[in-house]
Amino acid sequence: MTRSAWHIQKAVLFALYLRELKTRFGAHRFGALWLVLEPMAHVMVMVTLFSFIRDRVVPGVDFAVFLLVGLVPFFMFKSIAIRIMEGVEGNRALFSYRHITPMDVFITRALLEVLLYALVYALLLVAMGMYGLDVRIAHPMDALLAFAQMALFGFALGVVFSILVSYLPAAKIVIRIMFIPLYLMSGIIFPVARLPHDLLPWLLWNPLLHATELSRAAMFAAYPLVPGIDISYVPLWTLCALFAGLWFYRYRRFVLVANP
Amino acid sequence: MIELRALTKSYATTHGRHYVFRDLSFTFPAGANIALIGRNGAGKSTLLRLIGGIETPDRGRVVTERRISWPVGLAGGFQGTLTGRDNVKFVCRVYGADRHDMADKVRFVEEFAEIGHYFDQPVKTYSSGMRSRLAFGLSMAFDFDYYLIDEVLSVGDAQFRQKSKMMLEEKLARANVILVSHNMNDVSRLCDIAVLVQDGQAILYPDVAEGIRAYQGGAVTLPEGARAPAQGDGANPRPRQSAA
Repeated sequence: MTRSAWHIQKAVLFALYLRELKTRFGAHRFGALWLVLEPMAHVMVMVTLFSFIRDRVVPGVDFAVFLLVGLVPFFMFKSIAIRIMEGVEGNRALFSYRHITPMDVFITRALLEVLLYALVYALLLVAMGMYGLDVRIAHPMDALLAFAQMALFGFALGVVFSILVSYLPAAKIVIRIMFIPLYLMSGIIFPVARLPHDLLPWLLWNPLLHATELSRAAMFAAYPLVPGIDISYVPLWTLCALFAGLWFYRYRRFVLVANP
Repeated sequence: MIELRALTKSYATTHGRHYVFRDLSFTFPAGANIALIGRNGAGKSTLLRLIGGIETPDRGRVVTERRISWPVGLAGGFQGTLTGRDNVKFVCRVYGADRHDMADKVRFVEEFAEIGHYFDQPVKTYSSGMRSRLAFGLSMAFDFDYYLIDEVLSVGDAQFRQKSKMMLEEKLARANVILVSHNMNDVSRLCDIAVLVQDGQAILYPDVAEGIRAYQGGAVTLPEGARAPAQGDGANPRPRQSAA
């Protein structure tokens, strides 16, 4: 009895998926609940904190919702990229089973993060709606697209990082730190429109700013989109990162699985 | 039958590239239990891992239609935070066991490993002996055509060793083994043929005892009627070789 390649691929992804899920359950006492609570708590703390500091930044938009729409996709993006970066190390022993490749681990981890954060996103939006905030999504399809953009970009960058780290393990620290300025420069906790206008051309190099602004424009009906935001900018970055990542992956995949 | 076609495998070292095999072609005869013997660092384990698909050659291919196991008793393949049961289930899923099949296999491993309630504890709480028991049981739960064994025939206490030995012999009634070992008792007990791995070559000895003698003698004496397969295919012998 031989299994088709597709059959094996499905079996491997499913097995890895359950394994990742259970591994994350097992690490904490709250188990399944913690899995959702952790990112949720993170977002809630930030939202509460910043809502007190400043209230209405964009007219007609609740600041808590404004933050949520910026934070959740960004956290998802960061989480996907970092978990893929660390995916090989955490699963090295698995590659002795011949069907399992690093790419399987990457895909599984990305999928799990997307599902988790989608759930967190939905739960928090509903919670805010029940609290009385305006959480109507103005352009649902655009919102979905913006979310998917973030996820794919995180995946592409994660693959690049995993290769980079395989050459240079110390890069891991730099990459982790890099997310802090990125967080500040992506217009997540304040609207970029508030910044001096001569800074804008520089800030617009950052693809995450584009992604964040697009998420907001999809959410709020009359959102003042920063001039220069381009819907094809993030996909372009994603494409380049995927190309580079997969190219090097092709050459590095055996080094990735080798025991150190 | 397992066939190596122009296999090249190298590793990057600080002193440049180290070639373990260069254009190695070799055919393992079908239906035989094979011992890979040779000195430390000769490339036995690398060859085993190449056959198992765990490592991939730089060039060339391993061609086979047979089902080949992961290294038997591989204790490193467990996720520490998961229970023994979950780890077993994971491997079952990867190898495409359906629900019913999986229940059978999990029960088999649980009974074979004899680690009691630890089977439902995280693997990181296991002693190394318990890990080995779990790993060996897991390997034996699956039916392969070839079992790859890299020096891990003796794990656990005397009673478990005896049980493993019997289990393996039972498996070998229907399957074959490729064994890497320095224990010549195991080699002659389990294997029908020996393959001496030396200087990037593989030399087939249809008689195990003869292979062991060649290995222990240090000098390579070609067995009568055998050939160093890396030097050419039997059907098209290279003319230069007969001139030498």
